[in-house]
Amino acid sequence: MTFWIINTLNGLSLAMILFLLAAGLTLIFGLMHIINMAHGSFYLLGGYIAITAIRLTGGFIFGAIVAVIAIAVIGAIIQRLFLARLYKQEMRQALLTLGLLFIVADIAFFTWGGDPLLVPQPPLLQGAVHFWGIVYPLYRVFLIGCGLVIAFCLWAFLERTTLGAIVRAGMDDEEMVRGLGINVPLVFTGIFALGAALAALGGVLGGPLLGMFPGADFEVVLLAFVVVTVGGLGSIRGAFLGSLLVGLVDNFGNAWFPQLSLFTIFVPMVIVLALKPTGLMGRV
Amino acid sequence: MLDVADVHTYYGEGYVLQGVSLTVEPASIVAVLGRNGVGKTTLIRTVIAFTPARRGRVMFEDRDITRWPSYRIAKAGMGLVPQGRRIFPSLSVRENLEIAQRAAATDIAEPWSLGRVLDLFPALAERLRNGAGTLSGGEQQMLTVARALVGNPRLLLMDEPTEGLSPHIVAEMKKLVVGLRARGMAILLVEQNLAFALDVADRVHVMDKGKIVFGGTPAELDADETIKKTYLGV
Repeated sequence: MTFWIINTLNGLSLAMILFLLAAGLTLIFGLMHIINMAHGSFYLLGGYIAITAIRLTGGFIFGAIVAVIAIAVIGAIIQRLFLARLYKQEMRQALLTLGLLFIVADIAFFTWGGDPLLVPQPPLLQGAVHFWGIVYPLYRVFLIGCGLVIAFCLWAFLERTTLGAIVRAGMDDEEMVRGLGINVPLVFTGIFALGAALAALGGVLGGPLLGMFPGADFEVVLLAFVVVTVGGLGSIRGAFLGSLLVGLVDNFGNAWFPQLSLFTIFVPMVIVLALKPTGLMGRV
Repeated sequence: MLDVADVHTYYGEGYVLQGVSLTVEPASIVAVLGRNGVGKTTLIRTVIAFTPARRGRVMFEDRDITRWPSYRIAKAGMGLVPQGRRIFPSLSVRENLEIAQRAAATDIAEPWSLGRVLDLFPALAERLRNGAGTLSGGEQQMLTVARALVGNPRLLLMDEPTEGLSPHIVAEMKKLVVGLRARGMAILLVEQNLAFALDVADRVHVMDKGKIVFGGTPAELDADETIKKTYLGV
């Protein structure tokens, strides 16, 4: 029983990190049809910037805020400066973001070196919780809680606000939204920045567990794409379900068949796609 | 109010509008008739700049809007009832209207609020919480018009608003557009439905192969059997 509970909780904490990435990825794709490879860079840079900011000031929350805001601004600039010019040229946009992934990886290697760095855990959250005879790290519980709260906020934003309705309408028919007098280019920039900020938050919150190292960007964006494909492109609910599925499968897979770790991720993806090509909740 | 002057519009290399000019005065309905594929929808798309003109000029209330982005044109007081309705199916009826709401210019006596639009379309009022995709075709067309109206436009672009509607609903639509004109709305109406256009329009134009081949009053068009036969197939 302990095995099940611990691995479920571990799976959930990984799922929350994945959700932070997949949510932005799926929104950006759903609205702008951009396959954003640079999402992994936002995660990596978010983690690294947090590490530096925490080293300089000592505060986890401060570091998190600096990283998230910095990446949101960088995301907005990238969207405005590069992606907006390639409007509707999906292949060029995907290649551009792939190029950015490589460039950022080199910059990060140059700046932070090749050794894995952990984002320092906030002192308040070090230690463990005890329940049913299980000792479990407090930080992971915090991470799961954060993920759930953010998932709820995103859902409420999309489903319960006028701006959220504009985003959903943009996924249905972006041109028609412009025809209603709504500044869609601005909405694009905003959603891209939001997605980047969520990925950075994923790096900050996941950083104490997974660490930042060369290649972490690609590793995590690959998993996030699996999540988005399984969940269905363009759907937040799908991103959430997909994250749970991939997080749990990855954890139990690693526990049972550690030598087959990629296999256990892609088999569920293939099965879902074979049964439902649009993913669990997909619209396209 | 709207002045389209010698516009030329392309889709890639396809040369669709080959020098189209027309004007729409306030509180009037101008209809553009023609067969499928002669460029009527492209004319609408050019005015709202979904597909901007490559040459020529579009003036709206004495401002040159040819190079403006679509959202800015719509915001300046232009409403769109597009071909094929294009409601947002993943939004509720209420959300479809809410995102389109826009305060009226100060000189409008009775601006369209959500409440007033729903008085006009009681069928929508009953289904505010439903997904817009679950509406019938006629209800979707009402929603498209309602969505345009809550933006409080002074010029309405309507692209085949009677397409696929039952005769009963077409009659409703007729009352509606005539009523809008009586309140001062200018309407640029693209239609295949000759009877509808002749009934409501103050001026009619006939298009063929990207050019306007006839312009006159509805009575003049109705009397011109050659034009009707050659370009409209009636």
